[in-house]
Amino acid sequence: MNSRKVQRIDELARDLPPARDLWPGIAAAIEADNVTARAGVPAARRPRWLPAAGMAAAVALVALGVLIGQYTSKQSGIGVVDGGQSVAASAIIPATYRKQRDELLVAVKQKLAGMPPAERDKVAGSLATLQRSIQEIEAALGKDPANALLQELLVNSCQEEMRALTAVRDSGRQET
Amino acid sequence: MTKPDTVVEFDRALIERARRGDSRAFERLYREHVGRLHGLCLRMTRNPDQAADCVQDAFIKAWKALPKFEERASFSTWLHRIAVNTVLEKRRGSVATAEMLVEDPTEYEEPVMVLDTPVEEEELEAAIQSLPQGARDALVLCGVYGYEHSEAASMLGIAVGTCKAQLHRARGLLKERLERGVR
Amino acid sequence: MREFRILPFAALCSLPLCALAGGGSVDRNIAAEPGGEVVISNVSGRVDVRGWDRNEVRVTGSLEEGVDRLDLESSSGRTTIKVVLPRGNSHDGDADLTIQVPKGSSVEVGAVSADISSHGVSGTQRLKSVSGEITADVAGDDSEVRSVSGDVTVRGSGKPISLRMSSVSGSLHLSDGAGKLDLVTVSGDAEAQMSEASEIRGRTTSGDLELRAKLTKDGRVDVEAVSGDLRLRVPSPSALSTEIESFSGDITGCLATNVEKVSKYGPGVRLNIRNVEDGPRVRAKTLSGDIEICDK
Repeated sequence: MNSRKVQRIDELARDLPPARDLWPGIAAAIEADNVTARAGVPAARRPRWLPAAGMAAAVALVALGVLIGQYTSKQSGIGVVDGGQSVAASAIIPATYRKQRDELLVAVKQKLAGMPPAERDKVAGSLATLQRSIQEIEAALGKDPANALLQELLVNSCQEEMRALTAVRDSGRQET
Repeated sequence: MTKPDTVVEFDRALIERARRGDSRAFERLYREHVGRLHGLCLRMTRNPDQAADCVQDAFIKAWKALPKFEERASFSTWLHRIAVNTVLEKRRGSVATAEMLVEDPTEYEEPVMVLDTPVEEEELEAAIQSLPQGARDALVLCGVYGYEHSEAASMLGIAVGTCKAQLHRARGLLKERLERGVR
Repeated sequence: MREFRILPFAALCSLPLCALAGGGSVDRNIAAEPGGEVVISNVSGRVDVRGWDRNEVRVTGSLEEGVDRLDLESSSGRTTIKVVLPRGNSHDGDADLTIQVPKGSSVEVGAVSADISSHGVSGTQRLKSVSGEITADVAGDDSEVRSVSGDVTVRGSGKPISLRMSSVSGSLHLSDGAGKLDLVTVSGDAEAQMSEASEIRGRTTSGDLELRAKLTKDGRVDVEAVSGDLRLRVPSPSALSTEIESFSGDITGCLATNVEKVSKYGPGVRLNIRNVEDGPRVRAKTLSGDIEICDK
């Protein structure tokens, strides 16, 4: 590994960005603080339909909503590349995997076309579920690239996708 | 550690907007300062999860304390002060390891630390991480981030003499560890 | 690995190939070795395998008009039964078959839309269907039961074996299991009850996974879901170690007394309990599914 050499302490990098974007957590806390501040408005101006007991729940909901919004927002642009796959996900899942998967998909589509409609819908639905799950994990990973849990879930989900696609492609082969 | 005037002016404009409740302006300030703040917290805590928590806590506290920020002061220094305070608070909440340090009344007015031979950045960072808490804090603030003894002492809540003594100790230990190659 | 012993009476099979035309009933016998291999393939209809005490394979049932023929062949300890449809016709033509086999046989069944059932067979079983449902009593080591869209229901014998069950969109059910288990599904639910478990691996994407298993003293559980929930009831002879984490789901249950946040402001919760290093251990991860864990 080529590490830079230094001879003075003050030559060390001062800027060490965190592995993940910390802003969503900060934004949620700020928003929760704003909601609490607004709730501190005198009783005469407080909306009558929001009883005092519901304030804590409302604050929690707003904070959670902001947090979820930040994580799912495509506008943040953190680590997202064309095609919707995050930079982090691309680093974990090699291009050869994606190529093999795309080739498998061609064969699977042909197999699905030959299935009875009810069965085709069921199997296609499951494969779509798998794809959506992988996209969900990739999106989360884009915002938290160093998250080991997300990395593991992505690798395992991709393996499961290959298994499922192979099972569909090979189904009925020996039997007909 | 002086910034160009245009940057300072830009910061001031953002701070003013943030003070009025503009969270997007505060986000711009976050993006500009998070790298340095995180570097400081990471070197002081030696733990990425704790460093991330400290950074978030510091920015949240900064948001709440914006009305008290004096414009003639440096926003960066003010932010660092909040972050150091946050690290120290968390330490007080955990088991304390007592460090015996005899304060030497001699003035340590040593220049910024220069090593005898160049070393790899990674090796130097590892050696700094291995230092005892008090010595590491002083070295990070003064040696890495360039704070004066008085400023660093104020941030750490210790006497200036203690800060200087810790720095002297840090230098000695660092040299010794780099020579031995100890991590 | 299966081993097939060739016994002298294998030569009793007088018909190396039996071919029966479609459209009618079936009733044929053929001699077979007690520990031999039986391989069955059918497209649609039903396959019902039953173990018995005779050293022969008997095929009974009915073949619809759309079936071209039923091939029956036995040599060198391997008996093959195959339903053949005319070229270009891969769907029409049901064959409803009951196949009695020596109970010590290893059995392999491949079906497209045929349902598969199997009872009384003690050898290794490899049962695969594309859309048919599979219901089986499984007692042989190294057995596999797989479906693409059909549901899979297995009853074990209570004796430790190595078993793999998988489906893409069907559900998986295991009762009376023991030993090693590998459970994989995408959108179906999975449920397993085991009297004694040394190793369990479970994967689901959106289906829920429920496990009731008594772990051995060094038992290992490794389960993962993306959006499905995990419900684990895993008593064990000694204190359990856990490595449990969810990105945005909850962790609950009688063991979940010290669930901690992974980070103060970010998402993620975990439950890491460290006990004896070689003791029973549970590893469970989800993206958004909830995890419930109890050792009672």
